[in-house]
Amino acid sequence: MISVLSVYDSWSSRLMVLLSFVLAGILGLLPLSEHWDYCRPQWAALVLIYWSFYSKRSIDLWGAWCMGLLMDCLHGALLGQYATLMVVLRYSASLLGTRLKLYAQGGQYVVIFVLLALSQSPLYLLYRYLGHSQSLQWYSASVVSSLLLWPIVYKMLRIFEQKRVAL
Amino acid sequence: MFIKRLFHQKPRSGLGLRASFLLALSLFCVFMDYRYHSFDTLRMSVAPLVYPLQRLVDAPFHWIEKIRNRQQGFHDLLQAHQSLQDTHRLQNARLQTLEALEAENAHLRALLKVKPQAAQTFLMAEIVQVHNDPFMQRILLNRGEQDGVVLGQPLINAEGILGEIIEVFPKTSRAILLSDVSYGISVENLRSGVRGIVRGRGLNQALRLQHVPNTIDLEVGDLLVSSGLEGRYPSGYPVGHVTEMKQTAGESFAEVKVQVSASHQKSRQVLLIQSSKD
Repeated sequence: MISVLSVYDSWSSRLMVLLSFVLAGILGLLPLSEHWDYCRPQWAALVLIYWSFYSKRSIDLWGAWCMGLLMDCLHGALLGQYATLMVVLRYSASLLGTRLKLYAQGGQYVVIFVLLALSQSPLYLLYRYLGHSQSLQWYSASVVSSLLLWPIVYKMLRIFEQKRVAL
Repeated sequence: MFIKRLFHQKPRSGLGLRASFLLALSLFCVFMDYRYHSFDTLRMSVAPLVYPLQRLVDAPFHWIEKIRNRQQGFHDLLQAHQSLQDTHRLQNARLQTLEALEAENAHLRALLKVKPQAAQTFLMAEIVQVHNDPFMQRILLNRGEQDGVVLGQPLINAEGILGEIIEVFPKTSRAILLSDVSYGISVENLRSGVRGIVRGRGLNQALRLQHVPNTIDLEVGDLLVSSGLEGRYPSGYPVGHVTEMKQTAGESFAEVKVQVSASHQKSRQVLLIQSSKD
């Protein structure tokens, strides 16, 4: 038991989590054409969902917030934009706990969809307050594209994690 | 040590409190950054660290474009060369009249005792990254402070005005595009001379002409050019065409939609206008 814990708490494990976020950040930088820009998936949010719900390697609230700030710096976005999203996601994750894994596949998708939509809402409200007359189009498109990419992200991270454990 | 603290799982007490504190802090940061640009210095110091990463992501696309260009057939190149030569000849001819007009204009201005217009030179730059948030229409250029880029410098391409430099880093700079929601430019109608302010709508290419009376002399298809009255842009550069005009009886303002002339999607090369003061 002790040895297992030490594996999950080791430096390499933490570096792996950090690395996955950096990779998500790089994926977020990929240039997309004008029409697809609305559908840019929230890579880092998906990675956070994986680590908080599906893995024993965990990242806490502060960690999620810092990763959010890192994403903001990486993308040159308004500081705190991604951090908001990550905090909401991480907090919902700790409320739900590991219950999510018990749901059927369809149920899991529904919960992830709700979580992604929920995490965008504080920003949406703030932007409305600041005078952006944007439609919901951007939010819904990115939530849907993120959800569509979720199985791929899940598989990749699963393989990534298992390879590391095997080593 | 830092990483250890980052990923350490703490007991769950007071988690809600901590979450709401962080949420409030993040939203406050976004608000301060949006309204008062409080984190511009931070962004400027982080930019050199992020730049290699952005280049790295951009590199494959850059190389694909290069290889595609190289693979273009000899015939295509000849054709392109021919058509370029034609345009060059045509534009040369136009330039001759323009030079004459410029001389005449200078003469007329001298007669009217008006200060002559400042001469303009251009600095070529290339787009490195297009901002991926539709709320913020911004691009990153590969020219910075070291190349003589200054804050507020206008950005154009062959089709018209693109935007303005808002952040200058040592080797790169960030420009805001006309289509950004928080951006506006003073324009005039080339046909009738009517002036107004065009604002971005956040959506690519589409702008809105604001606060124009219902009785304004404006038609669909009119070309709007920069008026230069806000003191940032030189006058006479194309901004966009009027694509839609809705005049509702009883409303005091007309609703006018404008299509941007210049698009950053078509080519990577852009020009920065450097105007000499004297």
